[in-house]
Amino acid sequence: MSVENAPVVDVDEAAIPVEKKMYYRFESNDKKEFRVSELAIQQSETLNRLVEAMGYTSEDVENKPAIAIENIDGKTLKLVFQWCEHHKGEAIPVDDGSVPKIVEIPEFDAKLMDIDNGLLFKLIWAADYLNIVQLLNVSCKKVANMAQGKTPAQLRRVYLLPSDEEDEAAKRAAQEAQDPRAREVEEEFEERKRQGGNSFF
Amino acid sequence: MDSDEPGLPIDKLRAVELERVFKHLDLIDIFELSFTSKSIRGSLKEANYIIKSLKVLYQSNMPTIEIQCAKSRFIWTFGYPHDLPMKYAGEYKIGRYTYKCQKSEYGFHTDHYDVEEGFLGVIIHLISIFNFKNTVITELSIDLSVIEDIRTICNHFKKFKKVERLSIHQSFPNEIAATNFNQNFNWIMSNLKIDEIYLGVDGVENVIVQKNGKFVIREVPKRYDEVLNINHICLNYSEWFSSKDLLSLGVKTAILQNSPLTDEDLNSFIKTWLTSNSSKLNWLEVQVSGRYLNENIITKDLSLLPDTHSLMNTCCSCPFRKFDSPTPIPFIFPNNLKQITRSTDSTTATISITHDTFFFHIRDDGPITPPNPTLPPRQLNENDANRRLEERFRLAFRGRRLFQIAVDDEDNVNFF
Repeated sequence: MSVENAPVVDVDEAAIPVEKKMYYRFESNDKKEFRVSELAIQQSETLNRLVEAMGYTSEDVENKPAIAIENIDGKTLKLVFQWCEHHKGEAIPVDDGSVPKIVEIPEFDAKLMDIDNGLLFKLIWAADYLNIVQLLNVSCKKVANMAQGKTPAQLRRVYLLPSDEEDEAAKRAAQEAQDPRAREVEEEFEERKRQGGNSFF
Repeated sequence: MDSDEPGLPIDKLRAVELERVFKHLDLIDIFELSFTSKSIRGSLKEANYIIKSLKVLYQSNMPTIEIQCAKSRFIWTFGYPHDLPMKYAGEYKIGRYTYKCQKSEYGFHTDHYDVEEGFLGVIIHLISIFNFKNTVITELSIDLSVIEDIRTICNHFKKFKKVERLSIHQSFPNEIAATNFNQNFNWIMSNLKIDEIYLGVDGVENVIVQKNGKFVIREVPKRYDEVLNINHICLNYSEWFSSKDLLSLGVKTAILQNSPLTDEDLNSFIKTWLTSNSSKLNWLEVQVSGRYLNENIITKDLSLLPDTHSLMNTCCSCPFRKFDSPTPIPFIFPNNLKQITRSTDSTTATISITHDTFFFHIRDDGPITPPNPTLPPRQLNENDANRRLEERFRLAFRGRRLFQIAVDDEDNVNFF
């Protein structure tokens, strides 16, 4: 897809400061293009290093192809860049190692993350991939909040966790898929047990 | 979460993301999560959730385990604290036991009779999900009425970084437990790194003495010399503590109860302190048994002045003035306080003498910090009485077996 034909997604451009003229162009894996301010990019350690290493001028940014982000789709990337634009210029928090983390989810972030769990999962994945510390913090906090006051049975439902038995069954199925002979041996063993033999040999 | 909405599969998150989610959870939620699956337990362990302190109270009325990290704490009690709002949380299988638990804002509460193995099971479970590598045991309190084989219990804790306070006491007599304790005291002191100790039990030992040209065996109070090497000691029975020990005292805090020390011994102590330049001792408290102290003898030949410390303070705040409970008890000043200053370094000590207690205070070693909100006391009921009785029977059968196991293989349980 050419640059001219790429759909450009608006990312709160009114908030872009006058003094920062540079907008980088990024392309998601489903070919959606985004223009993001240089200051917003600083929230992502990965992207910040990337654009520094590229050393683009204003002309390069306009003339060269958009920077491709292969692992993230347009819907997720839009949320990521909206978040970065809103929080541009803010200090990146440093982990003091204490637990549990005390993180407040700001109103803007809460609205941004008012999305289905599938998209939230992708957002966490993207925040980690692009190394956006505070976005990862708030999105993980949102997931952690789902656990508050829940029993193990409720947690299994909320987090789609298989029980130990289901885990074992899945593991067995995977092993058997690899080695059909294993299933035959097990069936033979079960049959002998039914017939009253206590020794396999 | 909307009940129709599919959940979020956290086990599909990458390790870093999963760790980040776990570190937003408090200890109670993590504990709940650990019962969802083995695989999550493994992930929790890998997340390195650091536990700062552990408190283990093997007590007869409400055995308790408490862990703390920077901003959260978790309590497990064997017994239900009275007046604490709680609701039924379900069954939790830990080790070979399944506990029916009540849940409160502090943690989990269950009734269970086998305190020794129950405790061990819960601690092992906690160790399987949290990082205890640099955890300090702030309080290890052992009631010998509940724990007959103290060495086996202490063996579980020897790999912890430090035991800030070890408290040994006895809510009702148990001769086997006391004998085990006395036989293993040296082992305990050399295997646990202890900063503060409370000994609420006494012991006797047999020594051979010569009398009228004959050798006879005599029972004397057992000496617990190892305590003289640690910083803070509180001895409920200090019959063994001699005037020689007092004059060479090398601890920061010494609280000696039921002491045989004489008024002359205390006078000699003050005179020795006046000529020394050691700055280690902060606090000495000697309570004698069966007699009144004679202030005239204790202060003989000393230049005492009216005390000024008490003008601004109504009590002394020694954080180590603790007895069989982990809560420090401030010393309320009596009326007739005196002070004395030594010429070697101009250090001033406050002296007070009540009818049976001699109190020598050089400096406060920090304020008494407000204690954490404590669990309401547990009211004993008929079940408790039955529980104690069953515990007695269990100990009778098991005590000797456990002791033999410990002797055969002292490293039989390894937490790490």
